[in-house]
Amino acid sequence: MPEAVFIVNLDEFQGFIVSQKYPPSIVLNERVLNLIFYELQKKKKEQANVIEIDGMRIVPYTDEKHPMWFVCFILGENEQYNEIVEEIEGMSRLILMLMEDITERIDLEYIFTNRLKLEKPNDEQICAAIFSTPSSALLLEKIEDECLERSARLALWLKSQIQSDDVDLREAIMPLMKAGIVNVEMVAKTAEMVFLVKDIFTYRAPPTRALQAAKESHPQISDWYEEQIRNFFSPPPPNKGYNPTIQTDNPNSPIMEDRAKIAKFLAESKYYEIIKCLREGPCSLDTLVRRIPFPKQLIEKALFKMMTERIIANNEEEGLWMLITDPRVDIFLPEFALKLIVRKYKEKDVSKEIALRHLDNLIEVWREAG
Amino acid sequence: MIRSIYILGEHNHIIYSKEYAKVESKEALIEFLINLSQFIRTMDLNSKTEYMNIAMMRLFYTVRNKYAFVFIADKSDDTSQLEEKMTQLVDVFMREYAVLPDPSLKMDGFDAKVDEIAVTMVKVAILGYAGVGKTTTLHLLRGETLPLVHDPTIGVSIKKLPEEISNANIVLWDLAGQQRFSILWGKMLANAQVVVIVTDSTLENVLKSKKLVQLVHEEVPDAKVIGIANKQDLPTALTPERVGQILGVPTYELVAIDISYRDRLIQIIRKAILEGKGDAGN
Repeated sequence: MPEAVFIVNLDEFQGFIVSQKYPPSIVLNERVLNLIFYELQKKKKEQANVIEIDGMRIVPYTDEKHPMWFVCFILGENEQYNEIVEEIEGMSRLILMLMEDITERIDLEYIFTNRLKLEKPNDEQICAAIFSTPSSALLLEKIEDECLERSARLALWLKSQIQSDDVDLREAIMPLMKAGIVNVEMVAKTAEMVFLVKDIFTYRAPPTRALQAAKESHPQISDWYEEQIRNFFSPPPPNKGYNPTIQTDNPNSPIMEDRAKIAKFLAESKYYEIIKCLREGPCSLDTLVRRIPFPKQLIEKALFKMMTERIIANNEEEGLWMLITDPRVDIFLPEFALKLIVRKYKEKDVSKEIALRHLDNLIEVWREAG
Repeated sequence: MIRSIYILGEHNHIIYSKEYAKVESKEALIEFLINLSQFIRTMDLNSKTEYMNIAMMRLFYTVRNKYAFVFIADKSDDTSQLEEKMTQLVDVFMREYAVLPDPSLKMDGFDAKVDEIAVTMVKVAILGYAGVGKTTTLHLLRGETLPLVHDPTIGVSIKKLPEEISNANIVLWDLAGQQRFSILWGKMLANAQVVVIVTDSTLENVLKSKKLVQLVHEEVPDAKVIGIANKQDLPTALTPERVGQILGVPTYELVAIDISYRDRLIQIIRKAILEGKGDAGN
């Protein structure tokens, strides 16, 4: 168990501010904070590393979203860094997330002594995160239309869409690359190409597993629960039920807006952790508080937010929360890309080498996926 | 610190705005402010200032008659201090400008009044390669005795100027000059209103320092940049005029170990702050 934890903010005016520390008796100075910040700048973000300063072994952690904040742990004398690195990363992720979401001071002592942690974002969250960056979501739509495109052309297109020269294609494309939606590579040393290798679809699925679980564990609410789900997906006529497959190009259409909303709930851990629990079946607030490492007020706030978006429902009589729609993000083979590759090759828009390289990319990705 | 200030009129359009720090996603922010303005008019705020947190920022708002007032500040800022500043701003606006037929057209002098209320800190960054006298310049500005032993700065050393300039607290950021710390310069320069580039007045160092001027223009394009031709007491020193020609920024002579230069240097920084504000207003 580390000896201490502290949170530092590099304020653009006041410099380093130790915003919270535990135990309160630890003493830090400007030199130590400077050296920690310097080491962090040299290293990859979202990865903890141990550094030695003035005889202390310190493990600092920061992430892309909070570059001016860092969480640091001071290791005990005989502590093996490799044995606790995952725990430290998990606690740091949780602290940074809570720093953003909680109005008052976070309970650092409670997190530290109970070793509460937040897991790394999983594949579902990484894919959903594409929609958190507007330029990445825009780029996804374009690459879904083009399937393969020179990165130079995409950069120009993006600048014209956003009407700014400051937009950086690399930054915008990074979430797509992280999610494995596109591959970027040089072909024949002349053209850097962006290939669409996976397509992505966000939608609300009926929460069948949760409903099944409710029938077994809470039979008294199963009829009510089923009715809530049915009302959303197939309400009695003349109301129309939910149909996520309606084709639309209008970015302002309700279905597109809903997709962005779903992605947000999946990408943000404060919602996702609750969704994960409720996928297993209905839960009371107390159960959620026990299972999720967030303060009660944050969980309550997230529950009400998801209720207004018709993701969850609350059975007040039984004090249970449950999913009525299960936000999902699915990945699939972009079969439409095959026709587009052929057309672009025939129209001499791309060379044979580029077209073949895209096909190879698709084969490589989907062979691995089985 | 207050990052920006907005006043929205009866129809939720922005009639006044002032930004003290770079605003990310400005269009989205404006859209949000318009919606917020609509919303808070439906609330019974009773002339009180309320706030909400958005990511690392804290947004303060209030409504008086047909006007909505919004401050965007940092979450770490003192809430009561910000509420007090909001009251001052609202009072000045309501007393002197709201009475005009169309306040958005005639707001002479309001900018300066807003600065008086809002500007609490001015960041002055001191940049230069190792051993040119940055930390000595910092000690000189603070009127401190110079240390006998040269102790290279690690990362950044942040100190306040004992006196205020134009109602602003001056925070001096002395950036470490060693090459290994150059990876920090971009981040440390963020939001500096004035950047002082210190050279030791040797041809080699001044030529090298041209790169720093370029870096500052890229990182903080709105900052006022001045050069310092330090170590003018040494025989090899280029004149401040020559140093200024090479750097391409207004440059002033200095012997940082000579206390008699202190007042002059403070005047130079005061001028740079005031000119910087003037430039930003244009």
